[in-house]
Amino acid sequence: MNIKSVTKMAFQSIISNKMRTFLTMLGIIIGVFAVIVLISLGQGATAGVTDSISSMGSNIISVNVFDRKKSIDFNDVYEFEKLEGVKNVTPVYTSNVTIKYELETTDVSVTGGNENYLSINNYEIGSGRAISPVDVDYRNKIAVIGLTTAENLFGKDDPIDKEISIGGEKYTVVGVLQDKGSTITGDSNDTVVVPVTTIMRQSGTSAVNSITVQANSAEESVTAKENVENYLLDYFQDEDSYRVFSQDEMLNVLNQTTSMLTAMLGGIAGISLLVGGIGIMNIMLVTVTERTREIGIRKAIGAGRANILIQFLIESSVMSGVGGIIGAVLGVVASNVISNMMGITYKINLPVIIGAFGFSLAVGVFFGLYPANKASKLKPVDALRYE
Amino acid sequence: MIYLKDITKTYDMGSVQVQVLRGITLHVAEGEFLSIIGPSGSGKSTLMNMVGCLDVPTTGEYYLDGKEISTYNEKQLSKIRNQKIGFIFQKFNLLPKLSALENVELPLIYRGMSSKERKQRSIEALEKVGLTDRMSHNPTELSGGQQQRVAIARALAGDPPVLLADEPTGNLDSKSGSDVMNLIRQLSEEGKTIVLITHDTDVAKEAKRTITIKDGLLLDNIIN
Repeated sequence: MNIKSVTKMAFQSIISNKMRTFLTMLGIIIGVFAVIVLISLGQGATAGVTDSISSMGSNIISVNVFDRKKSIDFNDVYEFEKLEGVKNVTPVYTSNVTIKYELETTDVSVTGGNENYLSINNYEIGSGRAISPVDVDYRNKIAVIGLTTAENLFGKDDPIDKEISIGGEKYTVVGVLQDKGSTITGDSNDTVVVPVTTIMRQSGTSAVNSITVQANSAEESVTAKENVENYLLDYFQDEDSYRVFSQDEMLNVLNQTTSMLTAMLGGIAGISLLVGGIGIMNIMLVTVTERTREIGIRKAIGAGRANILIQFLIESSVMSGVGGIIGAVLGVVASNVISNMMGITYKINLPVIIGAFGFSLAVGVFFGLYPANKASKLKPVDALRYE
Repeated sequence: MIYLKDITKTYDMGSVQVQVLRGITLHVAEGEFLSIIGPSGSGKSTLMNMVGCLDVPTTGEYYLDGKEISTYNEKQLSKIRNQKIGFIFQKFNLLPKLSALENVELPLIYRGMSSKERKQRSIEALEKVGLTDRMSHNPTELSGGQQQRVAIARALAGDPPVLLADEPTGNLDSKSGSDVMNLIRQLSEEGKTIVLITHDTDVAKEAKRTITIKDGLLLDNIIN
């Protein structure tokens, strides 16, 4: 017996019942499709998050303060600058306010920082000037705005030296930031930066929300972080009052979260593949019963158990294999289309495609085994008598 | 060629045991044309299944071509069916989704023959039954007589020494029936050992020797 003729036979019987074959394959097609799309997009999202965080620089440490009794004031922030390994520090105070220019309004989160804020966060000035130490010292009502904010408020006009209203108070726009692109966390160009002292007084508070510390280098960020933590523990006497996050840690946490999410989505899609396999088994069992007479005839003219077993196994594997290929092709196409439409990156991962296809094939063989075995065990005399 | 010694076959129908064959001893010489006649329920189809290795006897010995095959396993029996025996069934038993040629090729596929040789031998077999012009037709596109001739070609393709025909004319009109019988007679003259099972005395008379089976026992032995 040769495999070629048996494969041909399997194909003939698959083709002879197109609708049923298609419906059976559909389970596998959807399964493989879902696995590839979900994992590709999931990994794409992970890569996007990683990129956007890396672009912020890996020597950044952020400190968030939660304590209600004790707070960190503007002047306390400069104590951090004295710590070993620390290069620059900026207090950060964020508030969501409405910004107006003539009749245009926009809702933007306004960030207060000192003269170091822009450089620490990798912002570059496109036109005009940055925030200077003098602005911070004298609580000058000036603002540096991002490209998107500038477009929203001023259209094509030059925003420099125009007066805008931030939460009801008048500020002068002194600078526009360069294009920083958008990341998974949102449009980096939709931002307004003002001197931290100005916005804190406007909000009537002396406490900052958070502090961003820039270490001398990525290598020294570990030391810097330790020093910052020690200082904070000393200051608050309570570990729950603050949270220190280095960029690296954030990256790890996010990576873990997204890869867990990807694995979970892939797993759910994998279950649908398994269900597809059960569909194949179901149909193969029906087929065996339907074709009892055919099996009898084949056995009468000399087909052995192995011949029948292989014929039915090949039928189920061909169904799952072809379904797997169709699913993989559709999955790659859909990943492309979805990522283009939603503007997110995606990663076509060859191991995932091969894995999904291989799994579908294995599912076909596994779930084909029982029906094929059942067919091969039929006694020729009983099978021939079957109507 | 075929030697059955004291063959019995008992079917276990739950509480009742039905003995279909009750000690059959039969000898068929090489090149002989034998017909077995009997009413329905006499056990003739069961006997035919035994001879064709489709079923195994409960007790008794079966020698085919000098070899004791009642002890053979399933794999060995399928090889015997493939190489030593050609079946001609009452209901033709062609695979409906294959063409006439593909049906004839089937036993040769299981023999592991190359596709070129397979095709050549199948065409020769179809030539012998006069159906070369219907090779690519499916069984449903053929008349009963033509289908039976395809089935005969299938039985012949592997060139087995023994042909078993179970009511080969049972589903045919008298014209195609006599065509098929002529073909079988011709094959007998060419030296095939033929066992024909029928309940039709006219058909049975075509054979050189007729034996009657009744209630699982062989009765008369008539030389025609």
